[in-house]
Amino acid sequence: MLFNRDGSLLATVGEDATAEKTNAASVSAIMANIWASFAKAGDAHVVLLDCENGRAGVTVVAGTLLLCLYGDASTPFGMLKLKAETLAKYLDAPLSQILGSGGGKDNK
Amino acid sequence: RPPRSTLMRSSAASDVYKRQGINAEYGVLERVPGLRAVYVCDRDGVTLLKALAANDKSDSDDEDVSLAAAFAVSADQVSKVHLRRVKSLATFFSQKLVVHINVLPLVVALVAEPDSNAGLLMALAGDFTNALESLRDSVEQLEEK
Repeated sequence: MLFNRDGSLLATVGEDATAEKTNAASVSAIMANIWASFAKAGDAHVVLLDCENGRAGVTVVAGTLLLCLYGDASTPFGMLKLKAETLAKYLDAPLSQILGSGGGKDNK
Repeated sequence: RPPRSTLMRSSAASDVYKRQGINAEYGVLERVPGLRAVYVCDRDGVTLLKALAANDKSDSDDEDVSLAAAFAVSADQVSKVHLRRVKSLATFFSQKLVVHINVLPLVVALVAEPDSNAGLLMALAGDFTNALESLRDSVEQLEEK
């Protein structure tokens, strides 16, 4: 999921569109809160969560947006972190261009 | 040389824990490479126990435990979505790795070198939950009063 620092969901891709969308909106809001709390303590670049029903990774994209990847409880953390970082790097340039020219418009 | 440890005597709960033996933190400090410090806090971020690695020169307790309260709040929030209960959370900073473990009403904070094995630290959730059972029960009872 791609979302703003205030938790507003910008884009989501998942296996089950309906359920994922419902979950994604709540998850993005909570992850934005978590990022705000933990990242302000220093220069955090990734946050990983291990939960009963799944695992999630959150990282920054284009300086201002947040990217969250989540999978089931068997998702290997190393892969989750690597995918999050790689995807963020891949999206950095195009999103920076859009944000730079768009001036922060929401694109849903 | 065994790791240094400080016990906060103000809490009855930590006295109970002291009587039960405190090998969990020492054992972990010795077993996990790169681990600098182990803190056990309550949900408000008050440190109940801490153990520092023998060669740890840092003096940043406040920084390291300040996130414990944030973790307690985050854990409550995450439990409401489909991911359910948070077992642990790892934050990767440039100078350190901090892993928080959910033993609510206790929070364990592990501070380690930035290239430490996060998966290994997060996998310690079960061990800490078992080791801290008595202390957790005591804190729960204190909170109920």
